[in-house]
This record gives sequence, structure tokens and C-alpha cells, in this order.
Amino acid sequence: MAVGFVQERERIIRQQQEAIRELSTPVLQVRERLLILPIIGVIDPQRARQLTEQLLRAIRANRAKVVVIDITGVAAMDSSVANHLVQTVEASRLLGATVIVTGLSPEIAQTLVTIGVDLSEMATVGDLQGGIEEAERLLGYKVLPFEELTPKA
Amino acid sequence: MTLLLTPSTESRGSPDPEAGHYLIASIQSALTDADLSQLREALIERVGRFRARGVIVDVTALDVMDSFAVRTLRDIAHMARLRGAETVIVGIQPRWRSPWSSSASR
Repeated sequence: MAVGFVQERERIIRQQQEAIRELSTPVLQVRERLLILPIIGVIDPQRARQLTEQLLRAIRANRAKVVVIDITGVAAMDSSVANHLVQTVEASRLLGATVIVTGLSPEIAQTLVTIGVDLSEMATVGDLQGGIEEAERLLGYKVLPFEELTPKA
Repeated sequence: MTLLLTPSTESRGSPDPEAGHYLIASIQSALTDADLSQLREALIERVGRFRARGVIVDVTALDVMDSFAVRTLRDIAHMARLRGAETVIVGIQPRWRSPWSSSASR
């Protein structure tokens, strides 16, 4: 009786953990062939793996050409996570998508330079706005205010 | 002492909107290691705050440049790149050749 109760609880906890993990890595399409992957919170190796998997699947499904990974919400990053990020970028490239990483905090920039992770292959832009602007440039979009589109009377 | 110049009105009103802002750090006198670290922190923080696309570090006024200074400048360049800005270092003098070539600068 007591064992069954504990097992049931364990099952619910596992289910909820799974739900949190699913929710924590949304891949969003903002334009035709442009995806955004905002990452918030701590990245552990398991989450990093899941993140890569979901991103690659989404690139396939949406035929994405450019992906913006925004890590503004990530407080810290160690070498294993950084290397995983580099691998994700590499894998995306093989699927035909260019990855732009945005929102590196000064702390993360400092850590990465100090521990000497080679990020020269990775395109990084300061913030999400800059990243989307760069992605639009790569895709050939140009965003204009409405007044400039309508001919002046 | 270092003069940190933030985006000027000229650069903000530049005809090309793609040009973006740039930061200028003009080093006015000899810097201690602590000063250099502080300069690095300040620059990297400002790159994000002003959405700068470029950083210019002027080292003309320096008489000597040791390996720590070279490494710090290299780190500034790398960190600024990660935050979305290119770095240009101006005023390197020929007599500093040895520390620059011995440490793997970019």
C-alpha cells in the first residue's frame, strides 16, 4: 500500500519534470524560415542535449535558414555548456541553417574568453534586436515604417 | 587615466543607419593592472548598453606596454566581439614589437 503511494508520487514528479523540460525550450518561428530559441535559466547537460534535439527537429520541420539563439536569460555558462552550444551551431549548419547567438552577458563573455573556448566559428550579436536585424539581412528582408511604404500624396 | 567617449551626436546622426554607434577609449597616461581590468569591465558593459558595433582603443599616449596590457587588450577585443562589436586598436608603436609578437595576439 505504502509502496504504491510512493511509486505514484515518483511517477507524478517525473511527469512534471518532463513537462517543465518541454516548456523550457520553445522554438518559435518569427518569419518564414527564421526561428528563435530563447533560453532562460540554468543549462545542464541533459537540458542542453534536449535543446539541441528540439532545435534540429524544428529546423527540419520549418525548413529554417536562420536561427537566433538568445541567451539573455542565462546567468552563467561553463566550458561543457559552451562546447555543447558550439556543437549545436555546427549541427544546425549541417542542416543548412545559420545560427546567430545573442545576448551574452558581460560575465559570460568574460568567462568564455578566460577559459578559452573557441567561439570564432560562431556569429554573436549583442542583443536579440540586433540578432533579428542581422537575420533579416541574411534572409533579404527589410523592415520599413508604414509611412515609407505608402506613396506620398 | 582613460577617457571613455560614448556615442557622439555625430555618430548617432550619421546618414547610414546601419553604421551604428562606436565607443572610443583614449588612454591618456600609464595604467596599472587594476586600471586596465577596470577599463575592460567598463568597455564591455558599455558595448551592451549603447549597442555599439565598434570599439576604438587609442594607446598612442602609452610609453610602455607589458604583457598584461597586451593580454587585456586582446581580451577586450574578444569579449567585445562576443557582445557584437569589432575592436580597433590604434597607436601601437614600433618599439613595442616584442610583447605583441610574443603573446598570441589576434
